[in-house]
Amino acid sequence: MSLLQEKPNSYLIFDGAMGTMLQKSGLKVGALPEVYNIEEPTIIGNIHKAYIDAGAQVITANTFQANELKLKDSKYSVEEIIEAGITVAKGSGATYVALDIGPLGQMMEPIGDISFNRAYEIFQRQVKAGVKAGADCILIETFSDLYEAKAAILAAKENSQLPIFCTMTFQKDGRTFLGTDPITATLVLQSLGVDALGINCSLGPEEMLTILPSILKYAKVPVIVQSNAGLPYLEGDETIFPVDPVAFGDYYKKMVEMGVQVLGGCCGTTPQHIEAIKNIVSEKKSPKRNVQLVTATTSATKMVILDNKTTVIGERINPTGKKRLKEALRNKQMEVLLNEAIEQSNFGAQVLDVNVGLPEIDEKLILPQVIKDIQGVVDTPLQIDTVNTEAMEAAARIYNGKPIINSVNGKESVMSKVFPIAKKYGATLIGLTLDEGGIPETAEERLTIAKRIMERAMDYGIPKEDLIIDCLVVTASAQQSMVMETIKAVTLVKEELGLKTALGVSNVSFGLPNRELLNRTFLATALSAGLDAPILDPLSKEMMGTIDAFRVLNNEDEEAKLFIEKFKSNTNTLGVPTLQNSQTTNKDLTTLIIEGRKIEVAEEVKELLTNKSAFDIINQNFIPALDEVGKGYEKGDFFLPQLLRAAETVKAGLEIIKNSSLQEFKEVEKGKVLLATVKGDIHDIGKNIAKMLLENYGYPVIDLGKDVDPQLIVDTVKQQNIKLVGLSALMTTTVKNMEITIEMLKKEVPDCKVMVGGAVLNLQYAEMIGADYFAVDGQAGIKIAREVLKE
Amino acid sequence: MEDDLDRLIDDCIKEIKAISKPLYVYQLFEINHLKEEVKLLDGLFSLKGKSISAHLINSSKVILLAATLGVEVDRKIKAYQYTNMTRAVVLDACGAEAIESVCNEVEEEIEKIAKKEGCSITSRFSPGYGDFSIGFQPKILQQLNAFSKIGLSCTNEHILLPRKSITACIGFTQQTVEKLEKNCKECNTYTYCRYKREEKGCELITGETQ
Repeated sequence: MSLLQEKPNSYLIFDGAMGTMLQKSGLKVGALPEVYNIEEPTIIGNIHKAYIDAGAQVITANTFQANELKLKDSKYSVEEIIEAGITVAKGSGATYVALDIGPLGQMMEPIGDISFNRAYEIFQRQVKAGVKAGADCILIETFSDLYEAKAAILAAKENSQLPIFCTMTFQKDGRTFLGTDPITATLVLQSLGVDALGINCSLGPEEMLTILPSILKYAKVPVIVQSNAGLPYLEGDETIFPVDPVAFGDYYKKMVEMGVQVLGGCCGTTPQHIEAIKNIVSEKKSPKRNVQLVTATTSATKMVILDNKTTVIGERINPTGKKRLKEALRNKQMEVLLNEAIEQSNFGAQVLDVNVGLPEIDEKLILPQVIKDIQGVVDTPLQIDTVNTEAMEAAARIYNGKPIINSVNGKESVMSKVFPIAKKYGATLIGLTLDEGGIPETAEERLTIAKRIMERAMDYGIPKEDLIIDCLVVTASAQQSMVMETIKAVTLVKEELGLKTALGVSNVSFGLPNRELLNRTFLATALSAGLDAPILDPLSKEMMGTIDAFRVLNNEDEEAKLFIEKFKSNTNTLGVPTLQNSQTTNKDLTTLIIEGRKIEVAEEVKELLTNKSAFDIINQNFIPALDEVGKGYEKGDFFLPQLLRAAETVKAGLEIIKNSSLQEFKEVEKGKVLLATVKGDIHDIGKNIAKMLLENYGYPVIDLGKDVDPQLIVDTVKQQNIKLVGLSALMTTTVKNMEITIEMLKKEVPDCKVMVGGAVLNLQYAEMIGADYFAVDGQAGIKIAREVLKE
Repeated sequence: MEDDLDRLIDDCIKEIKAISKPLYVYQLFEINHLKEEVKLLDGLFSLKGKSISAHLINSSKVILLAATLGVEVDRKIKAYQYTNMTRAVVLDACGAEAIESVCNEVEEEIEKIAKKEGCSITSRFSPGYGDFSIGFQPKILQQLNAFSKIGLSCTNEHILLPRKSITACIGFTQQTVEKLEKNCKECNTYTYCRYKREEKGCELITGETQ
């Protein structure tokens, strides 16, 4: 079946509401209507028939909530409900029957605890059942979470050949509950290869009219609308949907004129509403839309379109030449990478390159993990940077949004591996102008490779606008005569091929003094030649200054507003909230720590490092200061924010020591502590506070995160020979998992001590579940660590 | 130094207001009292437990309420834990206070409905109070269709997501309701709480810091 493909300018009419129709026939609000497929098939069949008589071509089977989470307590299986639902729909005489897939009803990571793979498995089961029962197409509808929609789409594509329709549901503010805007949704869904996309539920047709233009502007596939019959209100005990079929038809007429091709109804609509739609579109042809083709990347909530403005790609998440980052990757200290991500975003990076390539690291495992963790804390779109195609695919798969993949090149062997990944996951792709013969000397030869990459990409079904060309920067010290060829190639690629361009600008200065001067001069030249997306260090004031200046000169920064805002004074130029004042003081280090003056402490530590060992600074300065604050906190002179502020300040000081001499720092370290929030619990702020305090006192912390399986804790304790474990739980219901974890630890590693914390616990409770220590707060954790891991 | 802290708290109050998208949904049910059970007529389930039964003992109707600040608050608190733990903790506290104040506002709205029926309302009673199990979270959410109406869900262990959210039961009663003072002794952290005040409970402290 091809539905719209046969007649591209035709319309397709879906049916209207099922749930609200069933409530009229006695279904209780909140009850699962899917059970009726088996218990009351006649009622369902009659509703289908009424919609068919009204003119619906596609009947949506009554399977919206037929997933294993929603059916957990039902006596029927997913397969039974879906089979019965599709059978009833087919029996009603529908032209086409859609398997209906709604959201899971629980939240996915990183807010919730359903992993991408788990979501995929749940949807896969529905898709398989739908295919088996003979569905003609799949309707993935009413999603608020773009990530969840991606899991459902992949499940549909990988387990069926059926056309896929996908709608998201937006609130009055124009975003979904999870913050996705309509343009981001459009760009991502169509990149994933759905056959039609659009909006449904939550809003009435009037409100939808304001959201539709941005979808219609960017959608390359037909657009769907399934509106509620207005915004419902209560009249006594009755829910009223105020838009009647006539008014409904009037709104839909406007939508049809705007270019909407797939039409149906959601909550509160009736066969009369669908008939009104039929009367509008019969015999008509859909008007041709002017679709904007854009080169873009998105997260779930933020999109970056590479139009005629400069887009900064941050390069800092890359271990090459960075000791601290290498160390962090080896020890899985994700916070170091996350900090880099947050900082670069705060300093103006619009896209972040993510590269974790180290010989001793299993990229296929680590890259997706890093991508997932970064997406949990920043909404900046990411660029997956790897040559390992397995890692590339794994990362592109779990990425939330439309990523950039860095990179492909003109080698046939590379193109044949990378293009299918980019196509399947809808990524934008950076193509490097090199091939089997290396990097060509002249701009013209690089253009030839770029052209070949473009043509081959299109063979794979990758649209031209999803390609960015990197003409490759050579170092001026080694290949001086070729530097300007890169600049020329940028202009040629843009003019001849109409493609966007990227460049890793800092490469130009390797091996020369005053690198920043060379870098920013080269950057300015490249920008003038038309470079769209420089890949650079956004923390470099010089480089970002050049970007800021160019944005004024290139008429991107209108009326130089941003430039003036940034440079009119030097205070807080980055808009980053800061606690400390940076006036110079003559206070001693202890006082500075207590007052939370991070900048002064950093300066002071640098100064001290010239004549003092790391060991002495930590033991003579940091720890006494921390002890003083800790005592004040216990007495009630200080409150938690003050304790934390001092702790963060020491952390910043320790970072200076680590950067100056990692080796020396490691010699100061004491016994390891493992921390985890127990299985089933996702409260981790308390655990994270305990972690920071312990690390400040020199105890390396193995942080297993939240919702941690007891077995993983036991295994890690064994592998790393850990003598102290700290467990956190905040719910009476999850303390049982704490008890299970302690029991396993006591049985398998009896010499390991366990401390527990969390608001739900007290001393008696802690003893009852077999813990060795009760840590009333993070500060108490330090005392326990001192006792167990005697210094 | 204390100025810095005050400024941080003020900043966080502003930020929580900026990033919150307060949404709520409630529904009124007539009830039948059974032994340690309150049956919702026209509802899908019964509220069970000694404490919820006692709370609603004089009520003939109950409102089920669910409210949330939305996911952006969770995202921000999480991100600050990597860059600024102090701010994360202060913002977390502001979030807890903000959702309480959203509920207070909704409560006023509900009080008006009750007055029309000649009733006053009881205080809010949420799953987790007394022996009213948090196992009722998913039931309340399903009954209110809270996932599709306000984007509120819960995990298998009944933790509400987004985190800064509340579900509660409010009774309609013809009797005058004595507002209960918070009693520290019933709190689980009684033995070691730093904010405990014997008479008025921890509210005294939240009042001071505002």
